[in-house]
Amino acid sequence: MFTAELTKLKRSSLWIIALILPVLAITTGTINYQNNTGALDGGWASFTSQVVLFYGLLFFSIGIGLLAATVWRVEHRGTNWNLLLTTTRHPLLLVAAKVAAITLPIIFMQLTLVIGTFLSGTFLLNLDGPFPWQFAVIGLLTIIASLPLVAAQSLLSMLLKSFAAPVAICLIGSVIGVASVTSTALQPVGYVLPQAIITRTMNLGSTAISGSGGLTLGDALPIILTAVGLTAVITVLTVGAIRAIKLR
Amino acid sequence: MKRAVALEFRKMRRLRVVPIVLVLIVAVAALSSASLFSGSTRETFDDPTAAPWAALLLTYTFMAAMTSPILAAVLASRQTDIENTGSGWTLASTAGYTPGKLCRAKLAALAVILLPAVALQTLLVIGAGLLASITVPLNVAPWIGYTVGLLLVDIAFCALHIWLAAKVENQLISVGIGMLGAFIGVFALLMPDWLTRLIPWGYFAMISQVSTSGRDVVYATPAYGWIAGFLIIVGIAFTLATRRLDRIER
Amino acid sequence: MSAVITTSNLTKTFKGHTAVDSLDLNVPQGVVYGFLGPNGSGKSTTMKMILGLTQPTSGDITVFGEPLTRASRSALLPSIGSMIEAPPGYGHLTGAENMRIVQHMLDLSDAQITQALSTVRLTEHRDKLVRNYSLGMKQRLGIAMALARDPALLVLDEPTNGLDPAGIEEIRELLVQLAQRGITVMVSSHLLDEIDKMADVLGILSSGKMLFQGTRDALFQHSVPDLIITTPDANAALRHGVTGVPIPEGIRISGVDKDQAAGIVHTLAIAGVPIYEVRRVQQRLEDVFMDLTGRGGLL
Repeated sequence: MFTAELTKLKRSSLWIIALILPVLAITTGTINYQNNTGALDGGWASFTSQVVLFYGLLFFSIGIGLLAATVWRVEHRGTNWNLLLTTTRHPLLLVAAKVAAITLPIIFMQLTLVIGTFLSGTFLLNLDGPFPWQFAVIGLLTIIASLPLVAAQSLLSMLLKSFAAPVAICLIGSVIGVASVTSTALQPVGYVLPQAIITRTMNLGSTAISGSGGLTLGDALPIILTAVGLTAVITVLTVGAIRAIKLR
Repeated sequence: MKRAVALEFRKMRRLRVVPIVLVLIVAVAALSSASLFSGSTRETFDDPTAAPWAALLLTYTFMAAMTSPILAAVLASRQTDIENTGSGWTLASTAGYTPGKLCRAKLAALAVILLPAVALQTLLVIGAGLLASITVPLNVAPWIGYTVGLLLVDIAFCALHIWLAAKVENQLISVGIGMLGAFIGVFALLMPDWLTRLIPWGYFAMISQVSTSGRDVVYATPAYGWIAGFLIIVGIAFTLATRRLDRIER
Repeated sequence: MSAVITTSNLTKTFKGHTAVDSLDLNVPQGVVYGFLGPNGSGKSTTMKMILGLTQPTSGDITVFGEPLTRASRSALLPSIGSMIEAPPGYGHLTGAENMRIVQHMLDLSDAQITQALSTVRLTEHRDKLVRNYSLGMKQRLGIAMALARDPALLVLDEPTNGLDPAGIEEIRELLVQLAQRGITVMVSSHLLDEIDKMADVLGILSSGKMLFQGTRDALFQHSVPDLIITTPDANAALRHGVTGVPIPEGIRISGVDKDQAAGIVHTLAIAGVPIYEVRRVQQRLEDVFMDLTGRGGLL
């Protein structure tokens, strides 16, 4: 089932976007660091915070919206739905396969981000000290933290035939997510909104956003658990939606 | 042409264009005003030298640069993709409306929507400032200047994305470029001038009426010449590109 | 009878593949012109060129006596109603809203829209979203859009695609009626039976080349139906030099014209072979078509 989903992504431009986005983050982070070595004197910590700043605030989340829309787009053309529903043994397998298909490019993005940051910091900026392994861990943890948004966008793109509408909703959610992280009034929202979960995970130990917590079990565990829980809930909802709407 | 634009509005029914735009406007305004409610900023509200309005405009410029490219891409994609899925290009062509004409009409229609939207967005930000009791008098000119600039740059990017959405059936390209562009737009605010001028998304920064000198925010005059040049180039490119669209055979 | 559409040496090549090859089309006025051919024979491409949606590689097209160029196209279009390839329709709008878009594009009256919708029997579904239409309903909506402008020429690509037998018959009767009113209808199909029942003039295309163009009668004269001689003793007939295939009722002989048939009957009668009945097989368009296009390209 998963291999089927991967085949549908063959020759898709989605991989180019998954490559360019982290590269852009690294490029802009590098340039920014270079220009502001006065204010950013924390070496690796400052650099990684710069790379992740906007990537984690907004663009990673919107990227997920785009990936989800692309993965479901093939089903909405023509009458592919009939083929899909008659070759699936259980709706849950379908949902899981789609989520997995969306997550694969995300893993690719995060790997690119971590490796690229390492390369840039070492060879371009000549930063002192070892590459912070914490950054790599956070990079991978973010993959788990991104699952609720993957599931939510997957649900949206499954239900809506339009490509751009779920991306618009993702953008709105991301903007709300930014607000919830930077203002104290909206902070409770930040615990359940998928985009905010991503932002908070990526900024664990960051020096750019205050109060983001460190890479400690105490700070990370609640986020991860919420992420897993939310993903489960959204998946159940999606299966229900397939049953109720598609398999009437 | 007027008829073609009216037709575009008919096609907008049930595309929920207005709700999407409204929610985003409110969200951006809210984000821009979020800084108003922190303790340290409040102290500046009575102090003319701290230029609280200028600081607010800076945050607004930033947030708008982050979201406007994606908004333009999404609006353009929704309005144009319906032709791809509904065989609209052929239908219109047999009625004498070439694809190029449709695209130009779509741009006009989206421009009509963006005008009140961007104006409202600015008013909401100013309103938030007044609500938060900034007592320093408001210098209206930079705000109007920025709003007009933002509207024009928004329209310019709508033009790009309408063309992309029409040329390439896969909407991932158009919306994806919008997203990557937004990323670039945000960083354009921090890049040196010579670089910002050369990148299309840099113009979200070029229209800024404020800049930082040290820790202070001051009003600055944008480089109107470059902005005008950018808009003219986009206008010519769009006209030529849509003429070429007429020759594409589907 | 003047021709509504004529083409001369019309050719279209795509990157090394010739879709339409030196086509000389002649569609007379006020008829139903059946454009027949296997899939991929160039029917859609030809129709697109006639509508100005595709530019020919070489050759000329004349519509209503005017040469078709980019400039003359806009003057000619309002008199041509068409539906090519997929039926048009914005899924997020209702049938009526879609028709209103066509109405405003062409400056038509409300009456024309209502009439068109009722002609295709979509009036009761006019307020349903097109994304919820069945394939047949979408097809009918497309035909309504073509009819709304009261055209003098209708160009329809497989208009009965997806319709049930009742629907097919309705459309067929409609098209025949329109032709009787003086409207020229150019219909393409690979449903031979349908074209057989409604077309007066046929154009048969294969691999981009026109194999036959003319009236139905002229076509049937081209192909000679088999001769069947009902006799109890087929073998006797074979012994007397008649080349044919034995069948249960007698013997079946292909490719003999009238004189040859008379000769065969004469031979068998003199030889004393009993002849119960001599007749020709009922000719079907399908057989003629297969003969002409060589049974090759229907799939």
